[in-house]
This record gives sequence, structure tokens and C-alpha cells, in this order.
Amino acid sequence: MNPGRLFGLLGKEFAQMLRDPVVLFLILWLTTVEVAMCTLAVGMDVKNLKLGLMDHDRSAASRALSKALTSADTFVLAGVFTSEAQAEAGLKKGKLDALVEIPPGFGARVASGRKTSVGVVVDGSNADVASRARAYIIEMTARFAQERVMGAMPMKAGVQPAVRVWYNPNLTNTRFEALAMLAQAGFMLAVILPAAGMVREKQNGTLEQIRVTPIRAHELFLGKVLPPVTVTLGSLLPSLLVIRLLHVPMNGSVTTFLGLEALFLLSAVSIGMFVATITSTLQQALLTSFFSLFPLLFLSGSVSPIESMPRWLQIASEASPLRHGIEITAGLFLKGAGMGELWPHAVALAAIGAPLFATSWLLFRRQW
Amino acid sequence: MSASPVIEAEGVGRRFGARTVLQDVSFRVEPGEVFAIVGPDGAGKTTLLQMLAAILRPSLGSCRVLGEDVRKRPDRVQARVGYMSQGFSLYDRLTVAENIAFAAGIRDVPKEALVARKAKLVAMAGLERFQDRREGALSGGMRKKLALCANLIHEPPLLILDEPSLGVDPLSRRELWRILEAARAEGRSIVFATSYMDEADASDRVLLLRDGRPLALGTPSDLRKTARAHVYSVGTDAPELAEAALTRLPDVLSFQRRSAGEVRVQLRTAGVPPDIGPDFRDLKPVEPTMEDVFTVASAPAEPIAVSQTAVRSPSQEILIAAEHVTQRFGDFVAVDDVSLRIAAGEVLGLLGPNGAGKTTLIRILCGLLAPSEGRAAVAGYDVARQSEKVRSSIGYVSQKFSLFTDLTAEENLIFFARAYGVPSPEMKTRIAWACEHAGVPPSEAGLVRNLSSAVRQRLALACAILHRPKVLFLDEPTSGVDPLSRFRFWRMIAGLAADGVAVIVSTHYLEEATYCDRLGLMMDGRMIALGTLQALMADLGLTDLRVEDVFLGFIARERGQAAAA
Repeated sequence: MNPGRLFGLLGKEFAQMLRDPVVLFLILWLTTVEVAMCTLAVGMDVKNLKLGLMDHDRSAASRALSKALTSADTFVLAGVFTSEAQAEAGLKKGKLDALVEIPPGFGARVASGRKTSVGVVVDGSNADVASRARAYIIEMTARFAQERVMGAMPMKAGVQPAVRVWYNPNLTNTRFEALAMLAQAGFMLAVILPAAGMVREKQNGTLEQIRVTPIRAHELFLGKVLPPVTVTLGSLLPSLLVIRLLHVPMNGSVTTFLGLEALFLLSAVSIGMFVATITSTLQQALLTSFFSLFPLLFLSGSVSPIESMPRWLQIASEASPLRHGIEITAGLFLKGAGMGELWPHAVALAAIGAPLFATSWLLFRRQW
Repeated sequence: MSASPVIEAEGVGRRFGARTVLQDVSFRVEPGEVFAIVGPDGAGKTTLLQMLAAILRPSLGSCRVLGEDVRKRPDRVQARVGYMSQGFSLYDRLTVAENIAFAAGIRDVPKEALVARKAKLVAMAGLERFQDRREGALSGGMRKKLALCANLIHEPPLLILDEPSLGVDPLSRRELWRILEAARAEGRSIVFATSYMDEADASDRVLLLRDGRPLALGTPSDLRKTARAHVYSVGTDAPELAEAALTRLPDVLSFQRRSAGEVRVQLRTAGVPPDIGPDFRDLKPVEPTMEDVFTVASAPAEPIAVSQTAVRSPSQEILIAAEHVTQRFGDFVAVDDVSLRIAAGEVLGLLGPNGAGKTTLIRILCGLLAPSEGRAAVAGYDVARQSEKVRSSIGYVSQKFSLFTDLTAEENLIFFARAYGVPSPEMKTRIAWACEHAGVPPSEAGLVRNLSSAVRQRLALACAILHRPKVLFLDEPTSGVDPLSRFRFWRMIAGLAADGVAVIVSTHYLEEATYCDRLGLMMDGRMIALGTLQALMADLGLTDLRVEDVFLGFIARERGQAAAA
């Protein structure tokens, strides 16, 4: 290793990266605006669902039930219908997400303590929304029934759960999404920056020029890998600011965060260099990067919970560096966890990153 | 000519933002005329052609093409002209026939006309046998010919061609021009850009462009008149001495060795023969070529310091020795049993059509590729086993002047100085030395991408000699550079050779072969001829010095032998 040569390579790489206003803008855009946008848009909280009501009873009780259903911001009353056909049309056109039908005599039956039923139709085309809508309606109806029927007499027996939610007391998805996006933004940058940088040298012919100098393969490899990691780590600082603005607490240590993030980015730059060795144009490199990013993203748990995946995909998700990156970020930020708790993820990242790094290095070496 | 002109341009120009890339261009093209636009890279040729084809809006002046204003009715102009851009503009996944059919389809060529026209064009281009081959699988010359056919299928009255023969070997170039001659005979007008002066010479009228401004406009003979009495021929038995004497005269713009006994000189002032002493016989004015016209027209106001070169003394030290080098890529033999030896201070010119194996040979000698068979040593090191030592003793300038265009000239120099392990304390003096030897202005600021191609080329040379290499490889180092800058570049090469550097140059400009000590002609991977220009001429029985004839003569002989075998 010749320090002068490596220093020359690093200096050149930083100058090229930091001098390109388009690249700088894109990095900043991805780590700030897109983090904020994704967080607010993708936040999986089910809110403001459109509820249709067919009230055949029109009693105090039926009005109380509809009020109970729309009191929180989960549902808003989107329409009151008298005919089934109208209500069905509303569902079909997507003007309604759910429909509640209160039968005649509902109020009287409730008052007399007799068993009664309420018709509920949920638009199932978005399963996620539908399941939450269904659960919410069931819960609210049950609560309503309990208050009406048993509210008068004190509970003598039965189990009353005392649920407390830790780390995210409001159960908002914003916090988790913001942190997942933070990890994803860093990962994407660390894949694309080295891939694009390397392919550009191939296309411009400067790679060949470098190859006729005494620069060694490992010097160029390091010269191509270190600057993207540094720039990506640096780009996370504005990201942290955005996350603070989104009211996500920062409970863990920033040093631990940066250290583990660097380990996390090791996998990303290895993938980036791997992409650069198998492609020869910028377009190919970008497409290949995106295609390799998607499966990692789907398996990371940020798109859908890992617990809901089929068993074999759950196992596969262990191999996604993004999954560990997200768990580390969420653990640090939300739970204030330290190395004591996070080391299994760190080990996993090292176990994923090291072979990736070795493979991309060997391929690079072979092409040299 | 009573018909209205095909093109009328009045003070046409183009700005990109604050930068004016072209201005004050005025000319007319009459029906049936062949009009050449000549200039180095960055002169504004492509910009001008794009404005004529109405795909770029002029920001200055007015321009009418085929009677239509290119600003007001660009659609009508676009529909009627044929425009061939630089590079390859066809679909490489479609076959020859499909490409032509596509071009005909988008131009509304009637079915019945298509069959006849296609047969005629394809026959003229010599592509009949390849109709079902994919465009991407054709050679560079064939692709250009096909592109031309695709642009002639709708029989446009005006053809606009952007450097049609760029990167095309001399043989394909001749065929390309045969097609163009036929189009002209049918009454079509042709406007084309070129950096080949002989193509300009064969045109009806020529516009010389430099740095976005017109230098001269007229028929080739008119233009040659302007340079007459600026060009002299010097007869001598010692061309090195004549060159050394010419180098000392400030009035000398450039000179070329024409043969062992003749040097041609271009002068700044007309009618004053160069005073090079009594030792030289036959000092006489000669008829200028287009190249001379350009050189004289672009003469700077102040004399430029041309590097003084000591007379070379031949050395015995062999710096490049290749023995039976063969390179295979699968079944394809890119370099076939090539042997050569080059001594310190010697300049070898590699000539040959595209795909002849010149670049592959250079890559092997640079240690970038290990040869499949045979062995080669550069500066005493084996290229396959000691490639690192080889790399630190050679300099390499590639076709594309591979510099980092988003860095400044100085940053590029520092990067390569570090890459070659120049010690930090020496860095400054070494960079200054390299810049001086490569003719890079010391105060060159700004990003490399904004520099002219001539300055970029010199900067690439400076970057390649920072470590004082013993061997220099130059892969088509002068493509797209104006004649005067090419001359200066070759003087620098000569200067480096005089210092004992062995140089291998590949070039497409056959006239540059006269700057080389020996020539190597390559075809199909083989070295079909190797020797001094005089020896090669004698071999073919030629007396008149024309490198192109030597080149084509050997290729014809080789093909004849192949056919006989």
C-alpha cells in the first residue's frame, strides 16, 4: 500500500463527488426531503377512513354507536344511506371504506339487554386497511355494547387487560417509518455512489488510464469505497435533523449509531462495487442497483412486518442488511439500546458484509 | 444557376447560456453543391450542422434551408433533409434491411419505390451480402455506409453529414465517398463536416471554422491562392538539420518531412523564403494544400515557441521487444504473430484500418493484457509477469485523452503525479517540467471539460510523462485536433524522442506517418509491413510520396495473396 497513491485517489474522488452540484443536491434531497416525504406518506397509520352508515333504527342508541365509531380519527362519516344499492355503489366507487348497517329495533334491543347484531361491510381490496378497519369497528362495537349492557352493573369476574405501549406510546408508525427511511436512504446512496463512480471511469476511459499507472487494484478499490461511505455518513447528519423535526426521540449514542452505520454501509458499498464490476454503462449500473435494492427492501420489515411473512421469507430476511440496519436504528433511537443489546445485529451485519465485500473485491481483482 | 439556393445563412450563431459557441457565419449553398465545413473539435461544426438541419434553433442571425426559415418552420426542414449525426445513429439490434425499412417507413417512402432504391443503395454500399446481419455486428465503416443509405432512402434534396468518415478506415472512406458522388450526380446538395483536409479539397466550396468563428470561405482553389507563397519546399540530404534550422526561425509556422529529401514549410509572411542557410538546395514555393490553408489562416498573431529539439542520435538500447505476440479473444485473433523491436529515441507509427489490432497490440505492450502466445518486454521488463514494473516505466495517452474532466488541469496533474509516485517535494518542479515539454500553458485554470481539444491533448501528454517514462504509447493522440496543434504535438513527441524515449503512435491521419522514423502497417491482426516510409515505398515501387497509396498498396497486395492462397 502506497499512502501517496491512496491519498491521491481519495482526494480526487472527494473533489469529483463534492464538486458535482447535481449529485450533491440529490444526496441532500434523498436524505432530507425524501425522508420526510416518505415518512409522512407511507406512515401506515390507518386514518380518516370513509364510513358509510345505513341507520334503519334512528334511535338514540344508533346515533350513539355511529358517534362512537367516528369519534377518533380512524373513521369519518362519509355518507348516510337509505338504500342498499346506493351504499354498494359507494363502496364500489371507493367513496367508502366500510359500511355499517344498523337494523330496525336496535335501540330497543340494546336497552332491554337482548342480543342484537350490526351489519358491517369492509372494502377488502386493500387488505391492510380492511383488517384495521374491521378490528377497529369490532373493538368499538364491543366497547359500546359493554358500556350499554354491563356498564350499569359492576364487573364481578373476567379478565381486564391492562395494556401499556412502550417506546412508541401513541402507536404511530411515523417514528418507525422515519427511522426505516433513514436507514434506506443511507443504504441506497452507499450502493449507487460507488457503482456510478466506478462505471463512469470505465465509460470515460479514465479507468484504463489509471490501470497503466502503478496504482494497484486494492488501492483503487479502497479509493472507490471509502469516499462513498464517508459522504453517506456525512449525509445522515441533515437526516437526523429532519428526524428530530418529526418528533422522533434520539435515545441512544450518536457514536454507536455512526459506528454501526459504517458497518451497515459496508454491505452497501460491496453491492455497489459488485454492480460496477458486472456493468459497463451508467444506465445498466443504475438499473442493476435498483433491482438489487428492491428484494432487500421488501425483506427489511419496513414495507410489511417480518412477523407476517411466510416462514422461509422470515429466514431469508435475516440476510438483508437493511433489516439489521433498521433494527439497529430503531433500537438506538426508540429504545435507547446500546451495544449490549444490539450486538447480535452487529454480528449479523459483519457476517453479511464480510463475504459480500470479499466477493466484490475478488471480482474486481479478477477484472483488473 | 437560376434555381434558388438550398441554404442561405446570414450571420448565424448560437449561444448556450452565456457562452457563444458559434457566430457570424454567412454562406449560401447552391443546388448540387458539395460544401465542406472544416475545423478542429470544438470549432462549432456540429452546432452549425444541427442548426441547418433545424434540430437546434439559431440564437443569432437568420437561416433558410430549402426555402424554409429554420426558426419558423423547423418541421418542414426536418422532413426534407437527410441528417447523419456523428457516431452511430441506427438501431444496432435491427438488421441492415430492417434499419433501411424503418428509415423508409418514417419518411413515407412508397413501397414500390423502396424496393428499387434499397437494391441500388445496398449494392452501392457493398452491403448486399449482409442484409440480414444486425447493424451492431457490422464494422465501423459498414455501419457508416448503412447510415448513409438510411439517409438517402427518401431521396432528400439536401444531405447534412456530421463527420461521416470519422473513425472510418481509408478503404471504407473511399466507398463512402463513392455513394456520395452518386447522390451528387443525382443533383443532391451535400453539406458535411470533416477534419480530413483531402475531403475538403475534393469539395466545391469550403468553410473553415475555428473557435466558433469563420476563418475563410471559398472554393478550394480560391483558398489555396490565399496560402500561396506561404508554403515552400526544401530539398535536403539531411532533413534533421533542415528541421533544426527551421525550428529556429520565428516566421515558420510548421513543417513536415515529405520524404527523405524534402521538407515542406508553412510561413507566416508571404513571399519571403525561409533563410535556412546555403546548405539546402531547391528552396522553392509550392502549391498549398487545404491543410496549409488552414495552418496559414489560423496562424496566431504572436510566434509560438516551438520546442527546440536536438538532432537525434540513434541508440542501441532496445526498449520494446515483442516476439511472436498473439492475442486471441475466443476464436477471434486480434493480434496475430507480431514481432518488433524499437530502440530508444525511435518513433514507430502504427497504421491500419479499424479492428486491425493496433489498440490491442498497444494494450499488450502496456501490460494491460497478457498475450495468449509469444512474449514481449518493455523497458527490460516482461509485460505479462512484471506488468507493474512495466507500468511505472511507460506513459500512455489514449484515444479519448482520458482525463478527469470534472477536475482542473492542475488537479489532474497532481493526481497522476501521485499515482506515479512522484515524491511530494519534487511534485512542483516535475509538473512544471512536464507542462513545458507537453506545451501546456502554465496558467490553465478551470475544469478540463471546458478546455479545447488541443489543450486537453497536451494536458494528457503532460500527465503521461510526469514520471519521465522510457517508453511512450500514443493511441490516436491527434484525432480531432487542428493541423497547427497537431504539428506542435508532433514536435513535442520528436523532442521526447530526442531525449531517448521510445514512442509508439497509432494514427488515422496518414500524413502524420511522415513524422515517424518507421511505420508498421497492420491488417487483420498481422503486421503486414514494417520499415521506413522510403523502404515501404521502394517495396511497392512507388516514387510519388503518398502514404495513402502505400497503405492501400500493401492492403491490396495482402488481399491478393489471401485470394491466391
